[in-house]
Amino acid sequence: MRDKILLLAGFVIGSLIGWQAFPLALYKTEEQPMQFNHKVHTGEQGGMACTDCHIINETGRFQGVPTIAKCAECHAAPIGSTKQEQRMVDEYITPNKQIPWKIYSRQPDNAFFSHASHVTIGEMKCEACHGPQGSSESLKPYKENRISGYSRDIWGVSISGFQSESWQGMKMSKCIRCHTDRGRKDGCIACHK
Amino acid sequence: MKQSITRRDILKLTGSGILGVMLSPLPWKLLDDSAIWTQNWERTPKLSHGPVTTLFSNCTLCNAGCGLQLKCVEGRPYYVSGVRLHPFTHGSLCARGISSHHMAHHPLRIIHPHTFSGNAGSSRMTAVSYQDAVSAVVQKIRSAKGRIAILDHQPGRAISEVYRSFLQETKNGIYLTSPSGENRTLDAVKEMLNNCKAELGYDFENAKLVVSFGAPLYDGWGIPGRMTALKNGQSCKFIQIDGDRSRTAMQSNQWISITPGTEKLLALSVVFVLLNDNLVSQSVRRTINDYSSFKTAVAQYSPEATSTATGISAKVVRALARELASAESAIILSGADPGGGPFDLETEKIIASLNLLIGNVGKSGGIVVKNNFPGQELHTAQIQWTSVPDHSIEVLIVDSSDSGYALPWNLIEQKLVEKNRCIVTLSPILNEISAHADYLIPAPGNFESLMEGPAPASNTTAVFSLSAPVLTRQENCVEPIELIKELSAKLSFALVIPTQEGSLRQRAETIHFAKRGSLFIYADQQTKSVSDYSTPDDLYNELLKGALWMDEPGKQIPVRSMTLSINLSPFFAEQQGGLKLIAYGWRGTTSSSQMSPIMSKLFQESDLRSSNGSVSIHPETAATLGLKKHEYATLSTKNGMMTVKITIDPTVHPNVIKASVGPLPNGAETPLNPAGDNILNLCEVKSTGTWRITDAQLLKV
Repeated sequence: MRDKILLLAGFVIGSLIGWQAFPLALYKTEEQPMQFNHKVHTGEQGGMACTDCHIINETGRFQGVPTIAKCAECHAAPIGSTKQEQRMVDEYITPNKQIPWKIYSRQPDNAFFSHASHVTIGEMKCEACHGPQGSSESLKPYKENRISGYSRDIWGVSISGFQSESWQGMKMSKCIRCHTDRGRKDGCIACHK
Repeated sequence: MKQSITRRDILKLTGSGILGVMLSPLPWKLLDDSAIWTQNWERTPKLSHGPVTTLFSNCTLCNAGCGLQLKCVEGRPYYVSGVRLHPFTHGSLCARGISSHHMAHHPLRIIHPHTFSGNAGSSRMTAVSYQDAVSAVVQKIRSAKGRIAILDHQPGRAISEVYRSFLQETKNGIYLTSPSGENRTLDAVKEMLNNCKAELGYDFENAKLVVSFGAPLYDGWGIPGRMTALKNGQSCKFIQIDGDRSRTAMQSNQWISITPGTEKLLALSVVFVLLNDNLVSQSVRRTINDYSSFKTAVAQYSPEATSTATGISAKVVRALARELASAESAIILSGADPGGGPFDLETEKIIASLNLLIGNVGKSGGIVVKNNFPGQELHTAQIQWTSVPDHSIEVLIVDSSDSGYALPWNLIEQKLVEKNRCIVTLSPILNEISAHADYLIPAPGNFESLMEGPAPASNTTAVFSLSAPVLTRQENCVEPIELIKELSAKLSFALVIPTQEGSLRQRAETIHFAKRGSLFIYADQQTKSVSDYSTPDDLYNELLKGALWMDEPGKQIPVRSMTLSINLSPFFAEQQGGLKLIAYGWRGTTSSSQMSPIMSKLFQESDLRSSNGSVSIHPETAATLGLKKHEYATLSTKNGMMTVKITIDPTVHPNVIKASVGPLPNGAETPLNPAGDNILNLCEVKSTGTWRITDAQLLKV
């Protein structure tokens, strides 16, 4: 009986290290430089679409996170009276300084991804990869992998690698699975230029 | 009762703890993260993030001269693609082209002048000052009793004219170009047209039938995008004559399998049928000065007489001859495999003569006459390698450009004097030829300097394009024209050599003055006439931004006189004997070429291209030698031996060892030790200038 307890205890401790302590040690949590409410912009109040700010320009290039100039188009003066709004105007818009957002979905440099191909030609919804970001009211903390330097969102919420939602995780295996499901037979060079 | 903790308890606890950890995500997550961590070391070059700019340029990595679109961040190209509506490439690029922006960062990049000591195969590089290297070369040229030669891999550029002028001043100069290339059949036709001075090209776009004797038309030949577009267009029938089911053979409309080395016999038997079945028109016959002697010379090569040797039935040969004669327009061209090299001149001439016999020279859809570059109506004839006496070259200067075709060191060696010779190579990257040099002068890397786009020999019009500098030039790199200028000044030659920019501006001025042709502008994909440019500077600046000047089509003149002058040498004896090594390669992977290590790694890991050191043999040959797939064997010729990996291919002829010359396996790009570990070094260079077939042995390791 004692042996069994010992074995079970060891196994439980090992599992706790692997499943709970390891992720805590692996990821460093950092807050975004300021908060942002997507829902206000995209909901009934704002009525904007994702691509109004996350622009695919006339050359077909995706411009990613909007620059401060884009924010200034509407927020040259504070809209409303929140502290965040005032801070954005004072610290970033007025001095024309970019907000150092931490990008949840930043991929390694050796991966080439064309938003234009996927959204325009492939007619994919932004939510298919990014989840319901557009309806979020605040930005979640950014979790940086201490070893690889990338966001936890690349691996996915679950440390097991098996994600509960189809949009969670942005590893190459997910790209391959989606391409295979859609009958796309691309070689390495399609993404690794 | 108190229980003490025993060592056994600790072991159980630890063991089960490890099991618990092992069954958690920790191990594979750590593995994954560690792998990514290795990609992010400080020394790993990083791409900048920022606004993307688009530039246009032209590829200078081989003679195709394809148009390029460069996506850059902070002025550094990170992505290269073709120019969509480019009149020749149609937006396509080869694997070297799409990785051309890697080349300036190649691990074998040379950024200081070097000397080499010791023998090839065990030589050591020592840094030397540029001025010391120049002084030594000047001294050598002054005291040379033998010939001074310059090897220009991309003839037809402004620098090529500078080389010729320089050589003329040396009195005993020889201007050499790559022994292989797509111009072999065209050169043979020119010779038979009584050494006509006009440039020729292949009018594939209007041809109805193309017969290729081993030319890898769909595998990097000519301008790859042009050939791909022709294939996709399907308006022309392609017949490939190859010893095995090559990539081109697989994609052609018809593949005629031939016993390797008997291409001359097949060409002769086609000539036989054309002449004896009255398939040569009276008008053509009248233009052939030596018609009767030619007919007599080929009299013994009936399809029936050659079928055993070629492995092709007389019926197929006769059908081929009739198809050629009845085709509305046809082109017949010959080999020049990028690795296996050209056929001998005699074979080239017989194949070329087919174009003349069916009357398809100087005619749309055949071999057409193109205008020479404005202001260059007469070219100084370049010398064929076979015409250079053995052991006659004392000083050899090798240009930094690249033809993409193999040039075995054995062939160069054969032409060099045995002692006190001096080899100077200009190259941005250490390659097989530069590893044999006495002085290696670093040339600017890809996109680091202003360069002229090469002029493809197979084109139907003259072209001119530029590749503007995008990257910062390395400090010690020397333009070839700067070296020639310096040598000329120190040798007190009465030459006025312009700068690189000056020479290219002169070309633009000449085009502007001639008011000929048009520019295809890459940025807006539009064509504009040369006469629309008010000044030569406007034209030059347009070319600098990314454009292609295309001359007007040449005026086609019917052939009035030709001399076939083919003296047939004994042939059948060469075909006897045991195993034959036949080298082949992919353009841009051998000799003076280097490719991005990323591509060579990709090829090696994917088996998309067989690496140097991989050989294919017929199952019967494998059974006889007791070899199986993926086993290793020792391949030996009289030049040496190397260990090779066996692949079994039923389309390879029995007793043939088909060996890939390139790409080199990843990590083996360092050519300082080339002897014995490269297929090309095992090939025997014949007196006819070919290295296509070599007697060889294969023994199981």
